[in-house]
Amino acid sequence: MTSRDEERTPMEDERMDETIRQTLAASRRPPEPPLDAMWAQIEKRAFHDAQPRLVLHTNPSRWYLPALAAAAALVFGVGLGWYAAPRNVVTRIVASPTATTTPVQRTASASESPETNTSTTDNANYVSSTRPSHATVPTQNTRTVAAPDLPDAAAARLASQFNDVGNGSDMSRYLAQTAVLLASLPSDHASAESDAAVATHAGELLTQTHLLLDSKAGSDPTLHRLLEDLELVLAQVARLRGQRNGTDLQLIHQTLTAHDVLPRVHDATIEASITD
Amino acid sequence: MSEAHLIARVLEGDRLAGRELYDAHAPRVYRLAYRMTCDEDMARECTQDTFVRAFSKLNGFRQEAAFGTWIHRIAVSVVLQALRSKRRRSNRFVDIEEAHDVAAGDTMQDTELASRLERAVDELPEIYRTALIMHDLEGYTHAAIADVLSIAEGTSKTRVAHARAKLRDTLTALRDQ
Repeated sequence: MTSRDEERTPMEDERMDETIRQTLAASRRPPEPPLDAMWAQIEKRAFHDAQPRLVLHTNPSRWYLPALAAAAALVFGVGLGWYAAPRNVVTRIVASPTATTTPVQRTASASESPETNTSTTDNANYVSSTRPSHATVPTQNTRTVAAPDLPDAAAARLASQFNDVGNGSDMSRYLAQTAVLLASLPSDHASAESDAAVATHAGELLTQTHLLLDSKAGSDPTLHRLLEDLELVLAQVARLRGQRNGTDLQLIHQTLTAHDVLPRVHDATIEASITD
Repeated sequence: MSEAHLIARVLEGDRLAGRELYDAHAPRVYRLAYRMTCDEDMARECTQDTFVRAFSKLNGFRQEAAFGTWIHRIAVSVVLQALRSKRRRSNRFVDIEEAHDVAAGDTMQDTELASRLERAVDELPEIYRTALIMHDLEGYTHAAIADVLSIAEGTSKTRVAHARAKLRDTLTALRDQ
């Protein structure tokens, strides 16, 4: 307390306090609060996160919803593809260590290989000449296809994982893996190790391509054409291993561009994911 | 509907529940903000900031205190920050001329007295000024002030008494002139 307080009586202090209070109350008298205007700002700022959710629930016809769903499906497919990449080979793989043919050479004749003892009526061989051993795969409508670079035990194990080639899930996974592979092709100056890894993966996908061509899914004309184009591209990629000259990648990219392969793969991925 | 239910609904994104909470507390928050700032725009901004901050932190509100206490705590913090910011910009708390405008034509007859008291209030340390305005102008109890400012009730009484003493000195000096 100050010296001036000591000179005043408590009653005087009370009167002064009241004067001060009334003076300040008058000078600081608040106006009517603009409640609605303030709430409009608060609502905009505090609940703005809720707006997209409300829009999604109340107006499903917005133009971006199909695109959003497609993008989500694509991302999911690509992610699944990455996750499943090392394990993906299809049915009924039979060891055939001595078979040798060239990639993407399709023949309509029956398989002559004694190791490829199948019950099919119209077999064809797809064998990479660069692979010393491989497995041949008789598919449901007569074709015998090579499954390159798979040890027999691994081939048998992986083959047992798939009993129904060409269902939507298999197709989604295959397309996603293929899209990833084609989008990450090595550069002109890639190392031999990088080429080998990509080529090995391409060989596995090439095998699946053959199987899918013969599956129910491959009977769809649009998808069949896409699979045939992929077969060509994947065979080119599978040959990247080892020595290559500068034109190899150029040819692959020309094929991809000329046939709009990647956009068609994306479209097919979305289509397959929808029908899963 | 209880405030706990309203809070739960706000957390689910229910704007109407938010509006109910706002309607229950905004008038008093605005009044306090205006009393402390003496500025209509600042009071509006501070009220809005208070509720935006409250809604954004609502999931951290454990309901150990009443929602009213909690939101007034936020309000005081927001207002004091705004005043400090304004002081940094203009090197003064409030525009005395605006205070005169508000007082003109009302119960205040002596504009000189009002001007001097306003200046004295603005010159009070922040902790005294806040307690004085809450208690003497807005009618908060010392217990409520203690809850909002997170201080002891006795501390609130001491701060109000100290602020009053300072203002009495100002009033005495003015009358002695």
